[in-house]
Formats: sequence, C-alpha cells, structure tokens
Amino acid sequence: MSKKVAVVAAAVTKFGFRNASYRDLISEAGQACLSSLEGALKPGDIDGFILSTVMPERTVFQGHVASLAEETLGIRPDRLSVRVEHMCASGNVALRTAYSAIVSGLAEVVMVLGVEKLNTPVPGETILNMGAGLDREWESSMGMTAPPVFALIAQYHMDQYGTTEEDLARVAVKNHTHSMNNPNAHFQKGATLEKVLTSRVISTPFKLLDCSPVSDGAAAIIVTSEERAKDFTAKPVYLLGTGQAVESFTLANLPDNLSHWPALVKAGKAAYNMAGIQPQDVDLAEVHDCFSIAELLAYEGLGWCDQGESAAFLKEGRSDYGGNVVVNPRGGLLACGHPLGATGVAQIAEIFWQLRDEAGLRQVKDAQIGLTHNNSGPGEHTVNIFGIEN
Amino acid sequence: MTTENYVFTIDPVPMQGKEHNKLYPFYEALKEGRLTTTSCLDCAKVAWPPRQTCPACWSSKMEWVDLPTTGTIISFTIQEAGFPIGYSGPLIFALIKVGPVKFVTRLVDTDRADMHKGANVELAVTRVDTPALPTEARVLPTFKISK
Ligand SMILES: [Zn+2]
Repeated sequence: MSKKVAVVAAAVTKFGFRNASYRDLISEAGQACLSSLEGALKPGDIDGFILSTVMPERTVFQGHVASLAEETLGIRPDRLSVRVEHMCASGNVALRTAYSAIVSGLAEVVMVLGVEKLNTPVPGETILNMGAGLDREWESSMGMTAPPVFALIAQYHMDQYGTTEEDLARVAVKNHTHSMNNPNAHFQKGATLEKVLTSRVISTPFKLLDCSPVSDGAAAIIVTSEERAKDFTAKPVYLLGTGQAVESFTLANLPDNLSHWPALVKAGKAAYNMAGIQPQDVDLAEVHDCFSIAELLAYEGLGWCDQGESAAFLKEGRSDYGGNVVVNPRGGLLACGHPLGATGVAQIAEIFWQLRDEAGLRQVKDAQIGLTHNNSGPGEHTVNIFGIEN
Repeated sequence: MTTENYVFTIDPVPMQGKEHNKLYPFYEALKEGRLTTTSCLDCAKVAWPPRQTCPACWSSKMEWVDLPTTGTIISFTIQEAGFPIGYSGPLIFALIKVGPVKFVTRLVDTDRADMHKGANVELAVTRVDTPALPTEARVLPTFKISK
C-alpha cells in the first residue's frame, strides 16, 4: 500500500464562454490529459475515475455524470467511480478523494476530471443557478449570490484594517497581468489599476474586475501511487500535504470578524504539518481569488503575513514574481475564469507544470514547493501542497 | 402558471407550508410580522437558522422563540449589476445583528444614502408574488432602515 500519491499527467481546456457542450469539454480535457503521456498509459490502465463537477443537473439537466464522462472517454474503471461536489472546492476535494482511495489500496491509477458548463443562453439564469451554492432557504432566496457575500466581507476588512478599493484592485491587476502568458485563460488582455477601478460597479466595493467571470471549462489530471508514478513519467509531482476544514455554511454563522477565516487557518496548518513545511517554504501558490478580497485573506489565513497586512504584502510585490511566494501565476480565477468543478483541477495542473519547469513564460524560477487552495464559501477551505521530492 | 410551466421553471423560494417543511412555524410567524427561531430546551442555545437539531448539544428538544424585529448593520453592500433573473437593481444586502444572532437580509424601501455601518433596521416582510404549487402565500424576512 502506498503512503504517498503523485500527479503524473495534466491538461486544461481553454476557459471562457465556450461554444462546446458539457460532454465536449469532458472530451477535450480527458483526451489531452491521456495523450500527454504519449502511450505510457492506455485506457485499460485507469482503474479509478473521479468527476469533479457542481451543477450539471441545473445547467445542462444531466445527472449521473461520472459514468457519462467515463463512457465518453472510453474509460471502464473497475475499482473506483465517483462524483465529487463541494461547490467551488470540488477540484481540490476530488484530489483528496483520489489520495484516500490510492493510499487505502482501493484504486491505483485514478483520473480526476473537473468540468463545468456554466453559461446558459440567459445570463440571469446562470446567476440564479449559482445561487444554489448558497443556503437557498435562508440566504439566496432573497436574491443573494456570491458577489454580495464576498462584498460584505471586503467591506468589513476595509472597515477593520483600512484596506482600500485600490488595494483590492491590485489583486486583479497582478492576476490579469499573469494571464497574459496563459492561452487557456478566459481573459488575456491584462489590466491596469485605472482599468480595474473604472470598470462598472458590481456590488460595492467590487468593480467588474474584482470578480471572477462566469466561464465554461474542464481540466484533468492522472494520480497514482508513488510506486507506480515512475511507470508513467520521470518527473512525478508528489502530494505532500492536504488539509480541509468546514466551520460554517451560512454567512450568518461566520465568526464576528468576517474577514478572519479560522477554517482556512485550520486547513492550511493541517496541510503544512503533513508536508512538514512552514508557510514561508511555499514557492508558488494557486489560491482561490473568486473575488479580489479572497486572495488577500488567503495571504493572511495561509500564514504568509499577519491579519490586516495583506494589502501591504501585495503592494510590496511579495506575492508576485521575485517576491516571497508567487501567487496565481496562471492568472487566478479572476483572469482564468471559474468553471466551478474544473477550477481546483486546473490549479493542480498549473502546480504540476510549474514544479516540472514546464510553465513556459509563466515559469517561477527554481520552484520546489507549490500550494493549491479553494474556498467553497468563506467558512470552508481546502489546501493541498505539492513537491518534486517524495 | 400551469403545472407544466412550473416544472420547467426555477423556483428560488423554498416551500414554506406545513405540508412541505417542518420549519413552517417560522413562516407562519413571519406572515404575522414576527421573526422567530429555535432555542434548545436542554442547553438554551438560540440558533439561526432555526433547526430540528441543536448545533451545540445535538438535542432534538427545540422551542420557537421570538427574535427582536429590529437590528443594526454590521456590513452592507449595494449590488448594481449581475442579478439573478427576476431581480432588478440596485439591491441592498446587509449582515445585521438581531438580538443574539447574525442575520443576512436584503433591505427594501430604503434609500442608499441612509445606509451606514451601525444603522438601525427593522423587519419589513416581503410577500412573494410568484406562488408555488400548490398555491401558497410565501414570505421573505427582508428589512428596511428605521426612520
Ligand atoms: Zn442544545
């Protein structure tokens, strides 16, 4: 039985408003991932399959989707087949699920595929659908969706620590600048501070570019035991640590300090402890910038700076190339888009390429340790840590 | 609305009647202008949202208690774009303090100029004009700024 697991292949589709069906997106990501191993892996080698996806029942009126994806890709798993749904964190939770299946011996070679087809012909329907990720009975039935939820938190952080709209905008500028080197990103045009600050107001204090767009997309990885990893690639990327914590589902039950996220601190500590590293050992990270404020709070919760100091951390360039930790080199959710079930898997794919020195113009020099983080609401967080040494 | 149309339509408001929902007393009280929740008979924990299981001690012995119908704003946002279908803006959302609990609400009949942290708000129930099937009057716990 394996104690460690490794990622041995990865692929990401173009994210955006795609002229492609849910099934098309599964095909694109799955096929690209399988073929990236150039024959080292055949369809019969995959004994486990995990589909990370959030709301196909609503957006494409299709359930039973793990089996649909398997048949679409010609995969016939005989040890594990399961769908994972954990709202925005589905992708990183799916990797934890793969980890537990592999270390328990339940499965050995597992494909994790994340997919979401969010865009519908009526934009207002898409937004209503997204409200299903909140507590429908007590919060989203009043018209509440994710932008106002995170706007309330941003406003609280501004009131508490003096964070400004310009500080928030700097997150968008950094990530939109990074995505100029990512052809799979929804947006590749970059952004200036002025452009972010003068984009239209979505929900105060957020402007359009403080918010991740509604995107379609898919991503896939192959995960296996450390014993099998070298059968597929000379450069496996190992999962060193993982952590998850859920403190609260509703916004009403967040701690009184809305902008301090104890579940993130817990998930981060669990992952750091398991990996045997400190926060400052992380070279690059894909964190969950669903809204600009969420990236700032990730710096604080993951221990890269103290509470209330995230705006200065960013302004001093410490979360960018040449700084302490390069955050969101692929462009984050803000610029790549956020096809819910695909997001975490795409983050893992980026860390896979970065740690293998295959990230091209986005490459973080000498990257040894990478981290992925999703929130699935402010009260619940998932963190995975990766390295090239097992 | 025909039954067929209803099946093809998204209904973002929960079923609130006795035949669908064990928490129906909340909605019956709300229709009378009272804001209620559950309190645990074993440990006295007042929880929001109301529930059948105490989140503090897992007791199932709950009683309905009244919350104040007034509160104060902890944080607010004015949404100008990106609304779910069926809504038009601006929409004002706030996290408010109501007695012992925090509560998420939408502000109605409120001038944005009156919105500020610490402002006093009062319950202003919204009646939902799209009935569910079977037809039942439904309500939402919205608030407004107190004058
Ligand atoms: Zn109790």
